[in-house]
Amino acid sequence: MAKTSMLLPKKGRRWSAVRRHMPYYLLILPGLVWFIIFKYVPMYGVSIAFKNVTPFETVEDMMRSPFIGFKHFKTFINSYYFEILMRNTLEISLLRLVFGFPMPLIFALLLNEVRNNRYKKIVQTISYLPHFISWVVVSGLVTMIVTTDGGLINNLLVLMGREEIYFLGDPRYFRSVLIISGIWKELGWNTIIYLAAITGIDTQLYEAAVVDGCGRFRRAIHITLPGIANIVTILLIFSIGGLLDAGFEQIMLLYSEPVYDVADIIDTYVYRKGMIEMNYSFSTAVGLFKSVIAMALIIIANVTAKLFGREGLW
Amino acid sequence: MKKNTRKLFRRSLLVALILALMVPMFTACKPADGGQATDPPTGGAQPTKAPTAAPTAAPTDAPPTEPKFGKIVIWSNEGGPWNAPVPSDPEYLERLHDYILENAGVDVEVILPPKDSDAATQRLAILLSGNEQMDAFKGNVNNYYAKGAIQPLDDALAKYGQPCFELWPETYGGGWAGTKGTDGKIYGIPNLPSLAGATIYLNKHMMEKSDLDTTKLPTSMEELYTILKTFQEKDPAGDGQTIPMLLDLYGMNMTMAAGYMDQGLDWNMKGCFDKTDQKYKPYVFADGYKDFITEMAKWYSEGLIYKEAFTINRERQMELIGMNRVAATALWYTTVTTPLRDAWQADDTVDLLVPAELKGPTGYSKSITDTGIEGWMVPKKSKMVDSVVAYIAWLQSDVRNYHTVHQGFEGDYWKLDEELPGGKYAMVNIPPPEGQNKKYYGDFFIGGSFAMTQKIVSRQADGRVMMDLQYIEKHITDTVRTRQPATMGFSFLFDLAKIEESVSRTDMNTKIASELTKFVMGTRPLDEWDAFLEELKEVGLDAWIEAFTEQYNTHKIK
Repeated sequence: MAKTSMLLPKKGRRWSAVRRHMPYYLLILPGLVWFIIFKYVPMYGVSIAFKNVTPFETVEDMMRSPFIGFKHFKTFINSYYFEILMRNTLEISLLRLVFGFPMPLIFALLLNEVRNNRYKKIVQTISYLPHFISWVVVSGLVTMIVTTDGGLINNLLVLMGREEIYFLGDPRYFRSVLIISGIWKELGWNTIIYLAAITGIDTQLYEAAVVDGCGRFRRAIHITLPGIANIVTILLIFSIGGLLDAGFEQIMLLYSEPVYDVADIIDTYVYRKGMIEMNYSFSTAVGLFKSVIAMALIIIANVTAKLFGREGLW
Repeated sequence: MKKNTRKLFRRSLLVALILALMVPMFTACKPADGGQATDPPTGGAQPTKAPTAAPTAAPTDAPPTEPKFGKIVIWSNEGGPWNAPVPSDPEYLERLHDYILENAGVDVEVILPPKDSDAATQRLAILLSGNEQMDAFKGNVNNYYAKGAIQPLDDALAKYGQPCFELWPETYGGGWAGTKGTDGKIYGIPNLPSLAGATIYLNKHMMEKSDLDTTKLPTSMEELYTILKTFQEKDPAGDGQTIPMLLDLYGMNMTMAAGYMDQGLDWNMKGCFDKTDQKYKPYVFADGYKDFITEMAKWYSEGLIYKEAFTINRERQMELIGMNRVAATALWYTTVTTPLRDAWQADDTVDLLVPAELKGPTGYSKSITDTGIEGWMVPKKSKMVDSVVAYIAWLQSDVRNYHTVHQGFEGDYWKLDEELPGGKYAMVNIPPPEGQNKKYYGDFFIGGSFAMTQKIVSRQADGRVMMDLQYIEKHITDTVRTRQPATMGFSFLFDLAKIEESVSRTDMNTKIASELTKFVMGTRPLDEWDAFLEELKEVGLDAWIEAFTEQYNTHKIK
């Protein structure tokens, strides 16, 4: 059979392979159709970034609207908010990356060392739970904890003889609330991939290390970490790609006018322009600008990873 | 053979699985029945379902008839359901729906806005730009006209709108003029006249508990400051829970800023007229405005203003007021009266006092808005403009129609008592039975009109006037003890679309609001006030002044 297919022309061989695996291709089909309908077809809407379309027009009106080139992009780049939004978005994302990215890794390494399986499972379950709580609820909890009106943290501060801190209204503290609550919510969930990768490491390596007299810390550093380095790299590339996603939902629910200076990000600006001002063309242009930068960041991170001999995304 | 059968079975199973995955996906994409006008709205805020069966106890006992004017879907943002403690009773809604269908010939479906104002704004924007049916909503006509979001009502008004023209008298100033576009067409049915809806309220109980004389209300900012200080010291709420004053940026500005300025604060345009160089500028440039912010910063630093005043939303404000922790407020009046309504009904000593004579260094402290530009509109995509206008006209044609849809069937929560001179009516409010909520909160109500409010003298059974109605009757249109903006009588003529071509109003407003709250809260020192004004140049101040001054000069009343 293999010999026959070798004799077929290349095109015929490919088609024959497709027919042989037809059930699997059919299985892919619903997902593919879903992607085309819900992800690629709406991309036509991106064209309004280059037009002056009001959202109250029909699709035909949108198609007929003349192109105005990069006007909206230029307006955004020259606007007062451009610098503030870029700075806030990047700073908040970098803070999340610096403090948020290593946390699940460290937590996974620590969990891996727990020998009592029952205890390990309980800790894992408790740490996953916040992931399933919506940001609406989490922001309510955060507000209750940090409020100056009887909040837990401020009560403790007062008990210690310190002054109350208005965490959600003071630009000096607002970002700390964002980063810490973000880490708390996603810490457990983000360890899943690391824990899965750790289980794939050959146990003989650990046994050999024990024979050689390695302690737990050195095994974690010299066996576990290198064993999951590729996964860490891939997740880091993803994180860098999402650098401009600074956490719209969380910020939207927690921020207010006094902290706009340190919390207003590209996504909240797009929301204001699109939903409040109903300036859809302009907000689409800003959103597209963000996507292009994100794409560039992914490519740069991928190339850099490969330069350092790590596995990239492609 | 057996192998082939197993293979066939596996493939059949696979095909079934694929079909099972694909069928729901495509059915989810398919619209309910194609036509927009008859599409039931879906998703997000759930519409009140139109009944399909005969009414259970409609007043007429007649089966629902075919709607004369078709089905309309309304965005119920008059405020009733928004302020309600519980949703309306579905059975009551069904009866009322059939009553409207029978008497007005309109099949009304309702989309209830989310209680959170941001979420409501977002949902409305999606409804206006999406394909979901929505045929009527209330808002600032000038703003929605500038965005091209609404359609003219002239033809429909010519056919059905006579009652609307009869109800809204000339004496309310602008009104119809305020809801006209620059093309001269009418884009909204007027809802409100020139108003001073934000007010300072003093809680009478708390004044008494603090040994303050309730007959001597403050007439100056110094006296108000002393009263707030007394609230702080006497702690009438107990356990240190007293909030001397609760306000938001809007309330703070509209109730007190004018007392330091040479004109009322123009919140619609967010500006002021500078007589020295004859230019129209953002209100932060008004003479005396910095002094006002300095005073507010002092009050804040001394703990007289609630520490989280600028970060909480309306729901939280109402919660704090309902908890009886707030001694004074500078907010929109219903934000204060609504959470105290039950306490007021149960205890006739509960009351709110309005310091109507309050003045700042330059005169009365409260600002009144320009001629009403708020009205009932029909989205550009709606095909039901005739039905909407016919429905509003039916509501506004008769006080009973109006109040039935606003408050429920006559005899349940209200009844007309007698006809008074001047075409007015005395109305008695009937509270729900002890311990029960009302069954209806005005879900089907649109076309609310201040003109109709003026026709009603509404009293409780014991003769008392509800707190919000007291404010409406005595203060809301008070043009004597309020300050008028420099654009009074013509700001609604400003061509906002043209202004937006050269400057983003939202960017400017956002920057100003953000910095003002920082100055008041002390996170930015007041020595940086001039630097702040300078920063506004980077947001487009020069273009802002030029665009607004041009509109001011074009439309000012000579």
